[in-house]
Amino acid sequence: MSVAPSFGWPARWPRHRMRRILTEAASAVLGVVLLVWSLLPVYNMLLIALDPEGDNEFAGYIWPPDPSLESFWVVVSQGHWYLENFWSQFGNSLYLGVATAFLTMLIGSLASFTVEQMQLRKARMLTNAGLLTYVLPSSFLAIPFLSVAKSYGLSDNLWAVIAAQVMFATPFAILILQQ
Amino acid sequence: MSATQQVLVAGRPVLGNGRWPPAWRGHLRGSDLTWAIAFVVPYAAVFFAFAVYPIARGLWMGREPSLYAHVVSDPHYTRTVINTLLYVGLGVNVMMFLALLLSGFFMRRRRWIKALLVIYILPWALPAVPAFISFHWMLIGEQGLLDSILRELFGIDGPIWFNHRGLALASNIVAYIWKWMPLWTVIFLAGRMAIPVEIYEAADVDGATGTRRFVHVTFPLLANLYLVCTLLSTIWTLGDFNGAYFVSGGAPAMSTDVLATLGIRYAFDLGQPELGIAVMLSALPVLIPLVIVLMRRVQAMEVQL
Repeated sequence: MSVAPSFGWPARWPRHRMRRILTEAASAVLGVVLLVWSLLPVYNMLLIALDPEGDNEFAGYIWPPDPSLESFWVVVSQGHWYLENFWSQFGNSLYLGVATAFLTMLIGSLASFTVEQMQLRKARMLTNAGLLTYVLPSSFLAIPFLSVAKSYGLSDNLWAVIAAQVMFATPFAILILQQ
Repeated sequence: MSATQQVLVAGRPVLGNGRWPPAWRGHLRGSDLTWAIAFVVPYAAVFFAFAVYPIARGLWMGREPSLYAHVVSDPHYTRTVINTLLYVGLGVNVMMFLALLLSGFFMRRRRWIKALLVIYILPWALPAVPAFISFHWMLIGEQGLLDSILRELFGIDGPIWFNHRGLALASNIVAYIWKWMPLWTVIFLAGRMAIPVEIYEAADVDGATGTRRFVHVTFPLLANLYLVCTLLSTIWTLGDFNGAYFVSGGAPAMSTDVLATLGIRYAFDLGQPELGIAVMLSALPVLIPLVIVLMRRVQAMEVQL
């Protein structure tokens, strides 16, 4: 970039000035690198989404020759056998999010009130123990969780997912509410 | 557990206003105790039913020594352990070091750098699974975006990333770094901002600038934070499933699996949950010391503050 010209006139410019220009140039280069680094996978998502529906999904171009919003229309109109239940799946996600947020806030605020305002020592021990779930690999928990959910009669049930999410989110909510 | 507890106790004012009347503290009576218990019961119920019981059940499922003998005799397992060491060792350390350096870059007072920070933390804000799937598509060979760019702009034929174990593993690591580096950069940025300006002014008077300022002033002050973040990130990366599963998907021929994906494969693809648990639990001898050191360090950090 603009690094090259600044090398040319070291004699005329004071050293600190040249150094400042070099720093600016280097940070501009770093800025461009970071921009590309951060946005390339995001751009790739957009590229594939704008590619018209067809057999050759990965045709190997940097920009689709005729970008279209057709794919989005296929999704919202459930126009593909794989997307037949799109809106009910969308509803599930919404339900999951709202139920998790509501229950986390409810359970978390009740518990943090007791711990913080009423100073129930044993409860504090319990909420701190909850933070230990953060150092537990969640992929380990996934395997026994399936059989536990089955034994609770929650297999194929959205509430098994909600329970898992609430379990992970509540200790953090309590920690935040205690501040 | 006691360490976390002490951390939280240490960070709390001794007597706050608006708390429950002091006379009742520590020993609630009558209806107050009933209310207190009623308020904690939902949390305790969720915690025991969906954390303690699954953990206990997991440990119980992995109790047979023969499971571990079976897992270790699987040639896949040794390769997976090596992959996990590379994934965690390289991924975490490269990420942390770059995050530390980049946090210094983002300390610069320029408006465009502030704007860049918003874009830079975008990967962290995006959900992990679609982001990693995008990486998978980007690298899927000649048709992927990366090879297309190499061909169109530079005239180079890029490699077929997922046909080569080293490249596939590197792709997973890079994708993981892409996703999580912003989080740690922001944490180090907060750590740097907490360093008082007077210290830098004193260092300036003594003639410490540039690299020397970083080595002798900034880094010693951030060292404990750096260590805590590295330990926490190591623990999380050890359990990370998404990176290896969605980017390379274990390709070529399941040679880039990590412990988390191998365990899930055993449990859900092969229908042998006990073996899956055994794969996961074989990481415990590494995990437990890390957790203990982490807690000691967190405690030290709180005392220091």
